[in-house]
Amino acid sequence: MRSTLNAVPTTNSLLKKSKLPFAVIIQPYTTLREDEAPVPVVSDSVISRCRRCRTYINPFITFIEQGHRWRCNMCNLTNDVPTAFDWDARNQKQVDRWSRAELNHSVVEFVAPPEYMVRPPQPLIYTFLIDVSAPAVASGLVATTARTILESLDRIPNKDKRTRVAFICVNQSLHYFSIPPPPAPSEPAMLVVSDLDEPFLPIPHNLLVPLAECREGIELLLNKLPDMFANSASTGNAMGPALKAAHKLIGNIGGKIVCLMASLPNLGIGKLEPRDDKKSLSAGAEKSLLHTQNSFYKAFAVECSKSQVTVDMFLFSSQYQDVASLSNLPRYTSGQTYFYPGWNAGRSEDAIKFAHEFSEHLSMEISLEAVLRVRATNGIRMNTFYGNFFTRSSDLCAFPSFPRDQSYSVEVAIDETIAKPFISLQAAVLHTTCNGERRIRVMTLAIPTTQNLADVYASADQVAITAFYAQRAAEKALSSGLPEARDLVVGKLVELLTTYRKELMTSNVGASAPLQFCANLRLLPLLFLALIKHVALRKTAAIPSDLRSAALDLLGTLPVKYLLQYIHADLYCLHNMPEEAGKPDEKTGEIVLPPKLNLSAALIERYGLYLIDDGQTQFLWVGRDAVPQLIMDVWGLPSLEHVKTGKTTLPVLDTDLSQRINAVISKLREKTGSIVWPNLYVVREDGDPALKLWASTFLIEDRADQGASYREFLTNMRERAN
Amino acid sequence: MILSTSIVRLRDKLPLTASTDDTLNQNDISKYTGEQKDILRKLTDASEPRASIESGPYTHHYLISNGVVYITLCEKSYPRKLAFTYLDELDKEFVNSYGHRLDSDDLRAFAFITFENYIQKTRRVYEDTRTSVNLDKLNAELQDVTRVMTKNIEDLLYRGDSLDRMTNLSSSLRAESSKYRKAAKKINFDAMIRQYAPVAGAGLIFVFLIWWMFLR
Repeated sequence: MRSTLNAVPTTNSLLKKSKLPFAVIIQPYTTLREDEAPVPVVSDSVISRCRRCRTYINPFITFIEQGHRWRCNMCNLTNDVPTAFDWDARNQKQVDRWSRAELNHSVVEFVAPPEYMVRPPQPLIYTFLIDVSAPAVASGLVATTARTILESLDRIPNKDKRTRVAFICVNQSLHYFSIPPPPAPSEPAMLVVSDLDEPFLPIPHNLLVPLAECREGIELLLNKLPDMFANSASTGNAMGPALKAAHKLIGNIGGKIVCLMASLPNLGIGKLEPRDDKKSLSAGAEKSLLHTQNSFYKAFAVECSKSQVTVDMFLFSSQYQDVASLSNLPRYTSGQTYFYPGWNAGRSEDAIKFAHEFSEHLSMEISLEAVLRVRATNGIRMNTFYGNFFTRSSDLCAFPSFPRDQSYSVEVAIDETIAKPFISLQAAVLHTTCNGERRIRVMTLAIPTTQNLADVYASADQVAITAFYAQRAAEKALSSGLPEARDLVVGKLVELLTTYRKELMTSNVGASAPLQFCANLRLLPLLFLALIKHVALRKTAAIPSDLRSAALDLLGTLPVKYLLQYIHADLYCLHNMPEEAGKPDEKTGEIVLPPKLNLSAALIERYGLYLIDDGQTQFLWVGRDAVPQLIMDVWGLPSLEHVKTGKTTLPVLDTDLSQRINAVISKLREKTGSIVWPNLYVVREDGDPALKLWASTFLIEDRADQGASYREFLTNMRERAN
Repeated sequence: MILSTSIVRLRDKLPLTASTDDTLNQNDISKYTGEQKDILRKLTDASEPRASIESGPYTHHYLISNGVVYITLCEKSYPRKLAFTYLDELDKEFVNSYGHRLDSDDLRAFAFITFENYIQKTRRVYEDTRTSVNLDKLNAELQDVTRVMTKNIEDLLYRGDSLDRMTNLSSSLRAESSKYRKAAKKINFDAMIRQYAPVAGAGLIFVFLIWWMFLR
């Protein structure tokens, strides 16, 4: 949990005067699986909460009256301390209340008693909607999906043995699979329903089957799946009716619907037209291309959220797939959209990338039927919430399933003057773990207050501000348009610089003064420039709207660590690496990474080898004057002309350089909090100009088509601030 | 059709396991889940060990055994004997698997949720009332006559309520009537005073005059 300001102004007028945003970035989970970053658990279900504001007891409360009562740090009410704090009833002995986890850690998990449950804990349910139309089969999607699911069956969380799965294949009709449980012969049967206007379930049982019980039947089905549709020539895709049918199947319990599509849904409800006519990529139409074409996707998302159903979209298409409309479903049901443009299983890198990411996605220990509420000290109110979820009532965020690789931000407003020396913010997530336990994860943050504008500026967190503005800009782009989103970002930066200059600098500076900013915010112009030059918001007519939508989705949900890397890529110099880079560190055993460079072409030598990594894609840049020895060491080829550009896998050779480079690349691909496995592209400086142009868009400090260089940007800011 | 099943510990009403219902919609079932909670609240050690409670188009059947309540919601047309055989089977298997852990104090709610798989399997076997296995079970036992007490849910829920209401009404009535009696007495006394005050005053003046004139 991270706040943009680490010294909060006491009054709203001071906050407005500083022009700094006050927001909290909340990321309840930092890793995909619980055991990689465990959180202390209070297992005896003794949950002490304030009577008035319902805050959970936390390390910042004060005990009064010799410890018989406690004073809430949010609303100042005194509450009784439950007897279980001092006396362990089971072992009949005294315990020290200060050894309790919730008084010592600011992130704790409580085991919820029955009062927090509306119904018995939900089991984990996965419904796979697989597109089996001709484009999907031709690109190898069906075969790769079936194989990946088969290999990941053991990784799907199933500790309570209640996990259930269902498979529905979609082309111009819906194909259901019934898997009878043992002891019946587990030969799966396919039932085809062609009625798309009123999709119904052909049989009441055996479509949604327990994974542990019907394992054999599921494996048989997955083995046969590619062959069943190998000769399918239909180009219809009735994903809309399929979604409704899947909702009918699991709507009474809830769960996850995973859609894998390689073509545009063109039949039945939710039909989409290809609307990416190249001529209409002009400024006016661009905005409407980012909105949903068909209101089905928004209305259905609300229905799904009510019945605790989440939809995830995996989209693979070499043509227009209207990511903008389709991504509405994951956005309001707390799912995620994963876009693989031009995917083809024939390329091994594509297959490996999807298999890895899908397997990680299925093994993620998500939480189910969750709600999030943020509480704060009296006088502070949560204003707006940003992220993939549905806001039910003014401050309750509903998550049918709570993913572990997304982050959320909340804008905070100050309503009354704060008289206390510090304020507290508490975020509580009530959820059911994938093992069937109802738990509450509580995170508390305490921030000091100040009446001094200089303190507010000196404590601002530039990373959190950038993350908050990335989410705001993504939301603004979808609601008002791309130029408005860019103006929002640049305008805010100008405001901050102007305010700093007016309020905090000594008065004897003239009109041609250099640009001044406080030390902790000095990277903010660079980060904001990176944000407006990013694929999602860049001012250019050359980016297809699918790519933009997918990038906007990522901007709106990536955890802070990966978001920073996404907008400001890492540039590593590989030919001049220090000796220890690429080899395991002596103390920790982790591979040491080479130092990072600024993103400017001036630093790129003509004979050098560089790696650009933004978390989603990696580029290996080879200068045109690279020495033949370098090429031989890394690729085993005699000279630069023989090196193939594009999406490749680097060969692992015996040479020292090759080993170290491969170690660095695989270290960069290991991510504990994200499922993404970046593709590697080899770019030659004298090679394919399109690829070279793409790689150089990551060098944000340089001048690009319609984008200023860092130096020009700063000059521009200085003029506007003076 | 068997709709929903729940297994709850009797002494503190801690839910131990339940079936996730995929037949009834969330909205429809909340009314009946509420009724189920009410029934559970009224059960004690001294309650009838087996009973069926009718409510609208559905019936709740419950069985108490070894300090654990097994309760299920079925359609009205579902044979009662079959419902109780179903509950008996759940009882046997549950005690078999988890009997030794039932008494511990720090059991969390829904600790045995994995038992739900067994509940679903058994439910599927009992769903089809036409299979011969089930017909045999129907004929074999005479549970209906000897052991099951049928009630109507309104009686169960409101019986306690109306008695309470009666006692409340009568005690409030008594308090009110004693208040009224005191007030009435006071008013009577005041009226009497008012009535006789002038006469008494005149008499006093007359006596005084007589004293003044004749006895001075």
